[in-house]
Amino acid sequence: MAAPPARARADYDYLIKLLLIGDSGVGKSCLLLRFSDGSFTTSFITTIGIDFKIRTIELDGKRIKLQIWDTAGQERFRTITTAYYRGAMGILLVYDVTDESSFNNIRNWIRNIEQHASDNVNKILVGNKADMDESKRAVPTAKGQALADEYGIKFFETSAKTNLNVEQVFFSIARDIKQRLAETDSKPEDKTIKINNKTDQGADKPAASGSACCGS
Amino acid sequence: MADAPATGGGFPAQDYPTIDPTSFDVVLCGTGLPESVLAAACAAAGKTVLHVDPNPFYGSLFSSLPLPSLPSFLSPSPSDDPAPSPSPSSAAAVDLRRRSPYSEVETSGAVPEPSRRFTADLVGPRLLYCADEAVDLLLRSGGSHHVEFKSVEGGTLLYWDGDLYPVPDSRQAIFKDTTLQLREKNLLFRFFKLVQAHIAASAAGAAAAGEGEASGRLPDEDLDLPFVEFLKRQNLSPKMRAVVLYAIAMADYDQDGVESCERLLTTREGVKTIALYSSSIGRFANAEGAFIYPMYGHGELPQAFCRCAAVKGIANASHSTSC
Repeated sequence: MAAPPARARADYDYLIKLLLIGDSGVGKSCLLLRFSDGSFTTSFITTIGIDFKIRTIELDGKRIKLQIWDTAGQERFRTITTAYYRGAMGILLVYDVTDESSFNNIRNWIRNIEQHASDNVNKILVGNKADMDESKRAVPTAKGQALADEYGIKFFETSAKTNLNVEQVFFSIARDIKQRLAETDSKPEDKTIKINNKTDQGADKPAASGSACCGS
Repeated sequence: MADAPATGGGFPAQDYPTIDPTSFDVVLCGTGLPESVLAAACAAAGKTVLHVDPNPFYGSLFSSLPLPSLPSFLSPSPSDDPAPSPSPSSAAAVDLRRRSPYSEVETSGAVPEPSRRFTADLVGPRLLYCADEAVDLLLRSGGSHHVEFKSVEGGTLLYWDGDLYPVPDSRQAIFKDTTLQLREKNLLFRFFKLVQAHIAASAAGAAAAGEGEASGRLPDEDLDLPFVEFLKRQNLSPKMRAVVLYAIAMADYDQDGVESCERLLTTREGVKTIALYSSSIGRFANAEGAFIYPMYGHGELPQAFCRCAAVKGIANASHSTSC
């Protein structure tokens, strides 16, 4: 069950939890860091130090607080926790356009999502590293579009390196989720307790070691 | 709603990437709660950790299993032991065999529908005091980002003289209680005030090492008394003593009849549990009462710590490899 959006808060109108999913090395963390921090690095180490990142955007006059979770490298050995999927309202399915196996695994990731995420979770397909030379491309744009059409989801090719379409991806899925939430009868969900320290903002910043790299 | 574990589902059986590097500071086998806490601690301390588990799900015996998976978990089909690979001369092979945790399992009846919405908790902490050390650990480690809790609502009840009574476990509860007489309320107020003063004095006394007899601190002769005796000296009625002993201090054995009591609670012990109980009430703004429990089963706790281990990783080129 998706967590209901917290409304009418002082600093935002909607809180939306997004997940990044996809094979190791496709650039999930690069997309996250580009969107949340505006930074990019070419070094690759399996993601460490990032729990989630927050960025608040304005959409049609509403303040949307995006809480974007990274896999912490657990996807490398298929050990993502079921709790990772809990409460996700949107999922970015990321593959690398220069790596055909990462594209082929999107179907497997979607099966994983269907098993563990809520039924109405919004999904979007993202082909990253689109800046790469055509000679390296392994997945034609048309193939990505066809897969997205098959699942009835939107499709973007991005480059975290050149900042191509990164904002568009996050704004697009955020807009779709916001619309879905507005249309849905928001039944009051069971009240849950998130135990927090008063000063619990540290999760917004990755460990110093993590900020020097990005991967996954 | 807790589901089947995320691992394994959806992906065909295929080779996993080679584990690199090949040497680690720590190797942990199993993702039960102790192993998962240890993995998070080692990763936070900068150790390289290899964390493996033969199961396709987190938690080992500390899991919360979806109901359809429960029968096969309880009665695993006997699998052929894989042929041991020849070990290099520098290493000694150890023959480890897994045993079923249950000697006999009988299942009957159908799984309730929709089965996806039900889980069975195996071994593990079902309830936590809000001020429990485990909660502090979740907060310090960041594991609290990955677990949602619910409070135990409705308050606790005391069975007394053939009736159920709400337990007056805080100032507000005592004030609101309609079954207590005024005299009982005043005595209970005074008792809690006495305990609070002792707790505060003890904390202050720990800070000021030289101060032996800070005001408010209970004398040692009182602390060593059976708690039930101490409560009698405070003029608490039998019913109020039962409230304090069994509903708040959580005594496991009948404290009256001193000779036959299997485990007599001392005042020192009683005050300690009252301190834990009272510091739990109101700790979290939206939690009623003193207790919380993981909303999707306590199998979420090992997962939370494994996630922490994965997030911490280490600073250099190697990394925490989670199973």
